[in-house]
Amino acid sequence: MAHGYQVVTWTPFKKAYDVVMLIAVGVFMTIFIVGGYMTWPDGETLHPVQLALRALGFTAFTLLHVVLAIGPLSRMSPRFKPLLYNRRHMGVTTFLLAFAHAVLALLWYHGFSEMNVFVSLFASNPNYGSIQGFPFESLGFVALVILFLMAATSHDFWNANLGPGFWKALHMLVYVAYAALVAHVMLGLAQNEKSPLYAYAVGGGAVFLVALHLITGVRECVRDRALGAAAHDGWIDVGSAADIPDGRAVIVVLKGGERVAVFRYDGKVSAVSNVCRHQAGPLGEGCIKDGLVTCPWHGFQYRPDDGRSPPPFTERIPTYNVKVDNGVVFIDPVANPAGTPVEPAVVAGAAA
Amino acid sequence: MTIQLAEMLVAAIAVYAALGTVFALVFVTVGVRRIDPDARGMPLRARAVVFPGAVGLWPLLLVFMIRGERKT
Repeated sequence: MAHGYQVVTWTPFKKAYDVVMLIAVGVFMTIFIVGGYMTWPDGETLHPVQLALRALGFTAFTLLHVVLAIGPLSRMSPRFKPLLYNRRHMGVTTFLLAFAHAVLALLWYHGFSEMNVFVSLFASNPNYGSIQGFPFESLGFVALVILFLMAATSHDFWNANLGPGFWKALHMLVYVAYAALVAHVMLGLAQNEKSPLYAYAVGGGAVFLVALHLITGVRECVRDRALGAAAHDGWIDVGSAADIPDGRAVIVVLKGGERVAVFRYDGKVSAVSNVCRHQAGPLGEGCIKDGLVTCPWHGFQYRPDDGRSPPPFTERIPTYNVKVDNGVVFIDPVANPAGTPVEPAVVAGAAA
Repeated sequence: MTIQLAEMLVAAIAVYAALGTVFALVFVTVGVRRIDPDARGMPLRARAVVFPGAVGLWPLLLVFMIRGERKT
């Protein structure tokens, strides 16, 4: 949380995560290079630099698929949630691989030009009006700039100072980068590759990601409708307190689409915004740990009765007034300013 | 894209990056404290991690620094 910035707040899990990821990247690139050599058509020249260039590009592109799939997968099943905890390292690795790919491509294809390599990159192929002959390198450049901005602002300092809304919007540009990369790879393949295998793989990956996001989106809409709560005298009926598992929450969707996490703990009920200040993680899918609401994504914590992170941390989230009537939990749909203390409602007959 | 247009684009990117590099050096040494009290005593390595982002987003950070306040 926002106190005493470090380069990385390492935990044993994060270290294991990074080791597994780097081994997987190494294995993928090795298989790609060995496979590339073994399947290269006889009679066609293949330079090791070209193969390394392709290996770096395809590894980065594949890793980007994993990065984009983790979000929807973890919403479909909690088994995937651990993959979210250090996704930013996967994103930075994606950028570094893509950067290495770009540097090699720039030197190999434009380094021998008499003009500036960057000018050569943009001007050597002037067919911007053609689909088949479009200079796909420029699309890769656009994607690389976006991946750079995302990697460069992945540190908590940026999330805290750009604000969660702006930070999230900036990082949603990953979908623009992905679309540019699909076009970059497809056009590159169309202009340089005879085998349709790569094109099928790229198309399959895109279909997989689109389908995954659509399925998750539809499921979320259906769930939101089911969670839509009825109003009674200005208070929102959340349901029976007994139906909220101890130390957990139910998520209520208000009319404007705002989500509220209603937690039950120690015989009490408190309601806070469902949106974590860190990366907008779903607090209501987390739990009460050490008496604190704990975000399932990166472990940011807040006190349930005032929405404030424990000292020395300074994050605050909005709270909601709450009451329990005949065992039924009600919340006031009007949010209190972030960090406002609210007396928790006591669940009658519950063991403290 | 014509060579002339490409040269202008590359020159614009180079100027942006050069200004960003100069700004980022100032930002990671004194600017971070101005917009974020939590950044006081930030280790040198953490400032180095912040540096590339400051190069990329320097116009925005310049506004933050002039205002002297945190975005959030």
